[in-house]
Amino acid sequence: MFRESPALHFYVLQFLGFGYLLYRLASRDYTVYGFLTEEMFNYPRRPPWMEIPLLHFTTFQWIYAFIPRPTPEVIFWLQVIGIIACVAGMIGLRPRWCAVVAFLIGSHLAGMMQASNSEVDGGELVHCLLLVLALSPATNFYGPATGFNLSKRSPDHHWPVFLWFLIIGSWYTMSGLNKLIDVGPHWPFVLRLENLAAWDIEKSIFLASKYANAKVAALHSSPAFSVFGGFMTLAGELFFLPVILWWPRLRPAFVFVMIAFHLLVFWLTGINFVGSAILLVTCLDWNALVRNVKVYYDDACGFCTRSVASVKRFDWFNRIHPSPISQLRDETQRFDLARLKDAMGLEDENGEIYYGADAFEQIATRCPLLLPFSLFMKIPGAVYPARYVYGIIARNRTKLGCSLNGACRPTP
Amino acid sequence: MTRRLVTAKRLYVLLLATSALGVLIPLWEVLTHRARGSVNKLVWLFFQFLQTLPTQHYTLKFEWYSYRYAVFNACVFAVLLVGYRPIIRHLAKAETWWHDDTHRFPRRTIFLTSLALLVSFQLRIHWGFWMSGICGWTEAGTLTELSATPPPALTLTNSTVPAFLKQAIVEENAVYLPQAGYLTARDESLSRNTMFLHYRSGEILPANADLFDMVFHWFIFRKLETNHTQQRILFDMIRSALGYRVRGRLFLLPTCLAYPNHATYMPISYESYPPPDQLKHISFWAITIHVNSRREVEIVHAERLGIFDAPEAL
Repeated sequence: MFRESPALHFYVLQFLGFGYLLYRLASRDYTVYGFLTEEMFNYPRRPPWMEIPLLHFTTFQWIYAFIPRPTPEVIFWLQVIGIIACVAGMIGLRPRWCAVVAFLIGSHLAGMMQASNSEVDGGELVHCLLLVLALSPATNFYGPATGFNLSKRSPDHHWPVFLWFLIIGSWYTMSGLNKLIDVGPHWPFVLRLENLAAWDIEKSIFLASKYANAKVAALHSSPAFSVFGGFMTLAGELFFLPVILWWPRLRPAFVFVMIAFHLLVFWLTGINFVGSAILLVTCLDWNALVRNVKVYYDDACGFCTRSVASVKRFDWFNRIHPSPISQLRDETQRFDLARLKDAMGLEDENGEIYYGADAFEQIATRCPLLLPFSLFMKIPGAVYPARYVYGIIARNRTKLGCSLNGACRPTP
Repeated sequence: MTRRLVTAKRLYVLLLATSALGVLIPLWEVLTHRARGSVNKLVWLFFQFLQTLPTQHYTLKFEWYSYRYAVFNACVFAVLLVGYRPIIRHLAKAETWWHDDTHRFPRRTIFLTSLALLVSFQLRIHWGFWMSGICGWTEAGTLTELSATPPPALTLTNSTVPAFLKQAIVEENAVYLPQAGYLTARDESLSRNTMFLHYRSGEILPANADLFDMVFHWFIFRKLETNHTQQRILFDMIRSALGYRVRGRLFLLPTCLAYPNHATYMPISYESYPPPDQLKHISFWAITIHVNSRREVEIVHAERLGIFDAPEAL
């Protein structure tokens, strides 16, 4: 369940989690809540017969039953303390304590917003990430006390990332389910973005309006685009959790779709969730950059040997370790030798086995100059033509200077 | 084995109970609210206390929303009943996983988080730092307002429209309109209308609700027309925000780098505005424009909805 993993992915969580909250706290002015009177913190979006909600307690708004509401100056310094905690967390000074302080301040300030005017302001995910960081082992973090060690592997690096994936994946999948429950499976057909686009263009003429990008709105006047966008959004949201947990190859595509969705919502409605893009980036397989791989190639094949030597030139971080199949001994149980005659094999540090085009994708992930190939193969469905092309090349390698004692005849 | 099964069955009963509550409570809520205009404490405890949704829909389709939500939970309840055996089998596996001696803390954290996520979704619990995702929405009810004929309320002539109002129009966006016609910017909430800042120097400059740095500022300014406290708060908030904006900042970061508000408004550069302490009045306007076939914009009607003096003048 919890496999030994390098620390890079956890370091990314630490850096981006603190960094994103720092960005929010330095940009958003919560001091405005210091001007409000007590009766304005009355959860106005709830009908009068509803009383104080749970979040009144979880965001510590209840303390104002005993102490006066903070002035703008006090809120300013509260934000500054939050910023200091985020900076300290980013550089690794007492990061667990910093995560606790940043979480408490961030969610308390959000609680003021929730008590006075809205349920959400796009900060929920980053608060959850800080909670994950606060629960993580102290030895996981980079910093002056623990150093910055990419080669050390531990299960403790793995489970906080899994927990975070569970949370962020649930957020998007639940949003997709909400669309099915609140509207129905026909949601893409009744989304009617073209209505919004036409309305946006009208509103964008008045400075008093919510933000609307008239140029982007003008490109969305087609009902067909609305249906297409609706399907992409619904599919992206519904399958987000299973994809990030179990189908790593599809993660970049789903992350891209969700970032595009947030951008469109911003341009068309003036509702800003774009910062979630920073957190979506944490869903990529960052550890793939630092996991070493063993590449098994047919050393009786000149073309294969030359190809591996070429690839090695792009391996700036020495993540790829070629190994001729003639020397394959203990691993014979794990590899299909017949397949290895036709296609190169690759074993990831996690013990996962890949052949042919899939193996090349793993190699490309570890070579900065070949990264575009890796990204291309992560487009849903792109791996099939890639396997086909690889098969053609493998079958015709005798024509590409393969021959070494006539050894590399493709198997029938 | 027996212990595993007992725990699995307890978990199963918990899921069943959550689903049953998810069916009964919304229906109960609607029925009691219909009958008495209020709800009893038990319903409050399980439903209104735990969540803030469906209040987002309350004003328009609250009952519709509750029914759909109840139907969803009824489906989950049915799946739990029909799939008893495989579900118990999986819950027993989960129980074994929970009791594995290695990595006890991570196992329990992940297990409890999964359970909390599931129950939070079924009961739509809003924890403040977590809620069950963004609700479903469509734009089917969004209607354009561009009209080929002037609005009936159009009574003022062009000559009565103050010249400064033109600053609140982004004329270049008119080229994207599909046709010529009339458009009106007017809202029932005063603070959502076109805002102008009047300075002691006589300058009158446009502003918008981006200065409030809130998502739904109109809940704060419900009685702006008559309530002096709200008028004072309006000035305090705008002066505070302008203090940053005139220095080219959105709170502590430069405007060009800062993260925009959650509810973002059309961009206005405040850097050339006078100091905020020079602010004398704030006025709100309803504006009607005519866009001709060449997409030129002319303000044909304007109505001052309210003007407020700075607190020191009160």
